[in-house]
Amino acid sequence: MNINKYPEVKPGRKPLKRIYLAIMLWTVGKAIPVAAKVDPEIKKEFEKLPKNFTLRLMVQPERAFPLFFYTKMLPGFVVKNGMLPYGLQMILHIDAQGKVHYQGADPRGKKFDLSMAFKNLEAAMMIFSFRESTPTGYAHDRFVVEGYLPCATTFMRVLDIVQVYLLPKIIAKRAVKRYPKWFEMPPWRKHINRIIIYLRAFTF
Amino acid sequence: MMPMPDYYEFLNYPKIVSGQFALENIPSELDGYHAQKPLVITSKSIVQRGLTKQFVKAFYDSTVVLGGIYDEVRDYAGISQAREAAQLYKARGCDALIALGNGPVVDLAKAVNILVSENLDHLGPHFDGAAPARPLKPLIVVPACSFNGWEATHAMTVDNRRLVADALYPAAVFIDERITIGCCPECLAETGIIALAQAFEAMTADGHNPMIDALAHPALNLLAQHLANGAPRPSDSSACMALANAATMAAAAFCNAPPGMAHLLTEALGRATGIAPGKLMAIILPAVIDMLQEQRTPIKDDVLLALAGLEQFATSAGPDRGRSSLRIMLTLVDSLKKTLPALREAFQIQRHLLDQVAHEAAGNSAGRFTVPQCLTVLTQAIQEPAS
Repeated sequence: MNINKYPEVKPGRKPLKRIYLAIMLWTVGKAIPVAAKVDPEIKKEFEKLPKNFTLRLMVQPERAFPLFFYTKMLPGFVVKNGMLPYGLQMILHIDAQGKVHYQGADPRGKKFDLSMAFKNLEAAMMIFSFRESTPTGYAHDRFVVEGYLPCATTFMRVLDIVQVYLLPKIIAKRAVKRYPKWFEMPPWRKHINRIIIYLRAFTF
Repeated sequence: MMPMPDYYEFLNYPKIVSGQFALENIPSELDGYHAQKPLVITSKSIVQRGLTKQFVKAFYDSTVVLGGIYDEVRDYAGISQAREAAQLYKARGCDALIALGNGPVVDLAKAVNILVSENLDHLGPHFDGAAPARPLKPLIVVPACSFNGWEATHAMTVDNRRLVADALYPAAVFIDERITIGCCPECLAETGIIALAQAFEAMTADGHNPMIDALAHPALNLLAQHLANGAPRPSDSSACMALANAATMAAAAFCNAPPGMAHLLTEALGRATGIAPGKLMAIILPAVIDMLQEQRTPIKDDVLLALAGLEQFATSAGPDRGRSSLRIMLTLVDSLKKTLPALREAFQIQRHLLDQVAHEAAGNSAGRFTVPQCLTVLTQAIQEPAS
């Protein structure tokens, strides 16, 4: 038998989807620490998590998604503080004082207490292109969770509220479990917090 | 009230992953088995339909390299092909198998799995009754087009010989509308009627248990909802997905139950005549249902609940429920008449062949059915309807 008739098939790449997801993870990651300061509900949720706690949201398989090529050219503090999107991970750290920090997308040298991973790129695209809400994705088993499960559900609730702030209502309605009623999140509070989050998260 | 059996066994395999982007989960599933290089076994017709391209795309941005796509399977699984594929598997250093297709493709993948896992050159010892001595390599089944009812089970047919072993269960079945969507109405109807018979026979078999009911009930429910409307429309993805799910569930239930008369006769007649099992089932199942009606065999109430839903179940009087469920079964089979017309070849089967088939089926039933019973059903099944 001529085995060359049946060649090996190496997996291709989807570069545009990777770039889109890197930007989305970076946007959400930058917004969460600010939202934890301005929104009492998010603050309360983060208080439930232990101190000195590191968590990450990523896309599996980790080996298939190395950091973007330009990371090597960036100064160390830009990579460390996650000032630019450069990978398919979102790393958050809660320090001893309970303050939340975004630590970019580089997992090297970090120990994770909670790791939530999308099983594949398309699963992450479903969530971040808002075709499926985050809780539905969780229910559909699109994530693999390593760590203490109640911490993961706490983080899911945080993601839900942050998406309400980051996205316009028409999109956020598709992304969250239930869009908050006006008396749960009054419009003035929502809009002011949204402006603060965008200004403080993306003005370095 | 559900009667609790004194004793039962049930093996809950395989894992079913169904829905949008199900295929993209194969790399993470393989990762769970520490496998990174599967060999894909498929058929020429699947390649011609462009399904392998769709399939390969699902592995983009993963670390899984496909060891090769062996596409030589036609409508028969033979040991020579299994040896070829096993040679390819070893030459490429593969560590898992993926069967992309139906019937013979899955049978061949199971045969290759035994050859490579046990390092054998033939299946002789296993056909002589020896069970596989060690766990086999992970086998993933991605059903395409139609089902012959054995894909998700612990059985395979190679060179017209059947081998049954628990190790042969696939590790997972991935049902994705991009691949599973039917190629023709006839294929869908064959899938549907085999699944209908499997679920019905599993649920009404003597040794049924609550676990069988748990799988056969939703299978019957899905078939009752989607078979009549979905079979003539292979492009209707939601109906195709429902039928594929029903077929997988029915097969998983069926292989834990003793086979019913419809299956024993279909299998024996299929071996004797070479006619596709789906086409034979379309004529044998109504004859079996007629026999059950004539003999006033008690049918459990749950069958009506699965087939007709809560409303009709609640409005039917207790003693009528069995008869009502048989009527619905006949209506479902009749609804496929346009898509799956009765075969002319089936009406020309010789009488001596019927005797042989009836003896074989009765012999395989472990005393549950007699030769005259089987012969009566067969004679009725192949009676040409008056036009």
